Amino acid sequence: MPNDNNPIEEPQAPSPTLSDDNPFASMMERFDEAAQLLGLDPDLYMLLRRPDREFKFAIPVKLDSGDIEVFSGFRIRHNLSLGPCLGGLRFDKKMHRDELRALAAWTTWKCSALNVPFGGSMGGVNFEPREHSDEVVEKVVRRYTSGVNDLIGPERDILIPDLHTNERMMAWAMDTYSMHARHTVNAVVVGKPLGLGGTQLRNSAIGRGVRVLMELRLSEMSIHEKVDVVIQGAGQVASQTALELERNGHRVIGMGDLQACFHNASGIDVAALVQHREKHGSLTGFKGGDIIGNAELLSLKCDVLIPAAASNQITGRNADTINAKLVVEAANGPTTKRADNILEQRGIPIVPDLLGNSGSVIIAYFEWVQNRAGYYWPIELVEERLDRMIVEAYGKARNAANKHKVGLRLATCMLGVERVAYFDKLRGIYS
Amino acid sequence: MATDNHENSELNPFLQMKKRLEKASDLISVDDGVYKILAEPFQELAVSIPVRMDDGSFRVFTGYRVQHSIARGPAKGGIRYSPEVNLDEVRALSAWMTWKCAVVNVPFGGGKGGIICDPRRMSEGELERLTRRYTASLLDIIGPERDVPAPDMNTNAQTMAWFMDTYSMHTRATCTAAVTGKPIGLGGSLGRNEATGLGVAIIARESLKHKNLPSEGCTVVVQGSGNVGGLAAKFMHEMKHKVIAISDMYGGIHNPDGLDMPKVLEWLQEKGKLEGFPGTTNIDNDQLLALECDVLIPAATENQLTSKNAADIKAKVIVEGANGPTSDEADMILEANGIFVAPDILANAGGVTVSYFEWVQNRMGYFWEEKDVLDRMERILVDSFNDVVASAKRYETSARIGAYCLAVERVAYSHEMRGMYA
Repeated sequence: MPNDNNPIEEPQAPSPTLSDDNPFASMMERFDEAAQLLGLDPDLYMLLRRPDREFKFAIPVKLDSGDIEVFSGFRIRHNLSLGPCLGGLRFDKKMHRDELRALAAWTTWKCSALNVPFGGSMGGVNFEPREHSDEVVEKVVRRYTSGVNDLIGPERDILIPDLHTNERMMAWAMDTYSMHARHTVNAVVVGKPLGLGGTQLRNSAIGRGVRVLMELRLSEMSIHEKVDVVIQGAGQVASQTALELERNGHRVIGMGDLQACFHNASGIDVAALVQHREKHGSLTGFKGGDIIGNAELLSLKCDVLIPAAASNQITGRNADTINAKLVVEAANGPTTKRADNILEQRGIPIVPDLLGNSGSVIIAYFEWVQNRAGYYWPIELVEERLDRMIVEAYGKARNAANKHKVGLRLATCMLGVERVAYFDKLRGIYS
Repeated sequence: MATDNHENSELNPFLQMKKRLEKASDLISVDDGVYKILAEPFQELAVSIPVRMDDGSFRVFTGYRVQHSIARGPAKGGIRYSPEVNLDEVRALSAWMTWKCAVVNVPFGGGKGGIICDPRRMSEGELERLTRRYTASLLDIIGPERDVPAPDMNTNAQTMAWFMDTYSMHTRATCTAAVTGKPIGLGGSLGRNEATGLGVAIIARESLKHKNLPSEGCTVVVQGSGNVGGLAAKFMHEMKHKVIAISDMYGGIHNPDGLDMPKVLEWLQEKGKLEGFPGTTNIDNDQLLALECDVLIPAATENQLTSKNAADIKAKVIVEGANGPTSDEADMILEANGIFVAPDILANAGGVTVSYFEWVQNRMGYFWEEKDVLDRMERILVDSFNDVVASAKRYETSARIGAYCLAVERVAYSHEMRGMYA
């Protein structure tokens, strides 16, 4: 009987093999390159490239109709040499096991490059929450959490919201884990609501990071005044970035997603745009600027372009049309390798995603620290510590780039791989 | 090859398992939702196992542990080391363990594990490090109340001792019940070694009785001469039946007047292969399976009787010593030809029955005499045989589907009574 409930390809071996059309292929390729440049021992690199373990389990749930449906849950742990793993929980019907593997590995390198003491993991359920009632969604979250109960924990593997999961679901996950532990354990999940262990700045850390890095990179280019920015995207990341920039006196002259993009040379009223989207569910009908196409948005003349939507947006086909002085990546993998080369030739610097959206990982780390301490930081302290970690990581990446004579993107990758390899080797092999 | 299994459903053991499950579920009208739960494993873990090799390099192996069901108790099932290990095979084997434990009514679910490796090319030290790291990687999901492994292909009492030791070092107390098939004196049970082979012979005896065939003097053909096939042949010989052919991985030997089994096994022990045993002619696998005989015991590997050769089988009774030797397609042909098949989940359940006894003895810390072990096993197997025959009669189906009906009923009942958590 065909199992139409499980579109995920099965592994013969848990090694990430990626097809060309997989957006993470180019990410992994960069890490292969980084490992090669570092002259990593091939045995060690094979170990680093493979997930430490992959767990798949059945999630039987009674639907509102009374029928039982069985979903598949996954938890993939990539590497734990730096500390407990941090990894998303996503709900996605079309989830692909290789994608989860790549994301887990990605998080390992990212935490390492940022000096956050976490390894990387990733998990999810092949489930579409929008097709089900809140009660069913809650059951799936609870059953997922009890399914991975023995694998997760504040010292083992920490859940963070990802595609189609949110802070409410994180509260359910935290509650389920706590019920099994017989006491409240809030550090097992991050991205929780404020008051349940969530941290200050949790909804604006990515945007703040983007802004800090942008200003840092601009000052290296001797641009110290306020700038004109174009943002691709209108979701969580794009909105908080736009608001952060606006708050700091910069001007957002172009913004939008696949449904509608807007241009306003004197600056878009970002708060109004965000409100419109919240109210209507999309940007359609927003009156704060001229309607333009997505291609036009990316090629607007501006100081800084911030792709904050999806992967593979700046490609070999449109890299020539980019008309910005700087690109800061807030999305994961928005620039393809070919586009990278073209932008380099054209002298347009890029702040890579690993650094660009690092606010998410750092704020997750801060939430975990505060939960463990049971002591909560005021927003000024969170801001100050976030800025410091980002600036330090940027400085290290910049040094590595100079030392190895490579671009910032590859340098950040090398930084990430090098630390994990170093500590894996120090720890040795347990048997 | 692993990939071929995915292309040819007759050779994919997991799809074969599902076909039987589907047939049985239809007959006994299992709830659709419960069927969905039973059709996929409860949980499965894939682990990377880095091992320091003797030459100083290190290699990363892949290991699996699949728990198909824990509805009736801890998962139970072997661990195999082989280059051919693949996830679908491990899944099928774990599901078979669920049905097998339910057929003999021992309070276990089903599990199975494996590592993709070639143990013949590894030193003792490398195998020990591989086993220990694999055990450590499974710690979160195993244990005497959760999942209890046992030896399987290319693993043995020594492997289980390493497994038990690693588990015990982590739990800070010796825990023999974490694994079965251990050496005697280290929590192993008397009778464990002969249990599967003797169980096959007992089921053969009951099958002959059921088909009104004589209780001695029947001709027997055995495929495989390891712990299952070799001992089953020996016990059939002791029951005064005539073993006329037996094989190993290199080929088979045949003597229409019957083989002196104790001598054959001594020869095998000494020479390492059956070929050349005095007074026999060599035959190949296809010839062996097609021999005229009363009882055929396939006790080697999976996928031996398929739609290609099932019509050639001349035996009156088939007793499956191996797991999954017969495809669903072959079952249809054998049934049409009036051949009685005692299915694997009944026929080779002696092994898991004594594994269960080992676990029981470990838990209480008191050990039974060999006679007690084997007598208790025999009672369970004979009762189970009668349950299976009754179930087949009730649902007007083959003994195999009858056994599945019995097992699925028991597991589904547990699910219905336990209900749905969360």
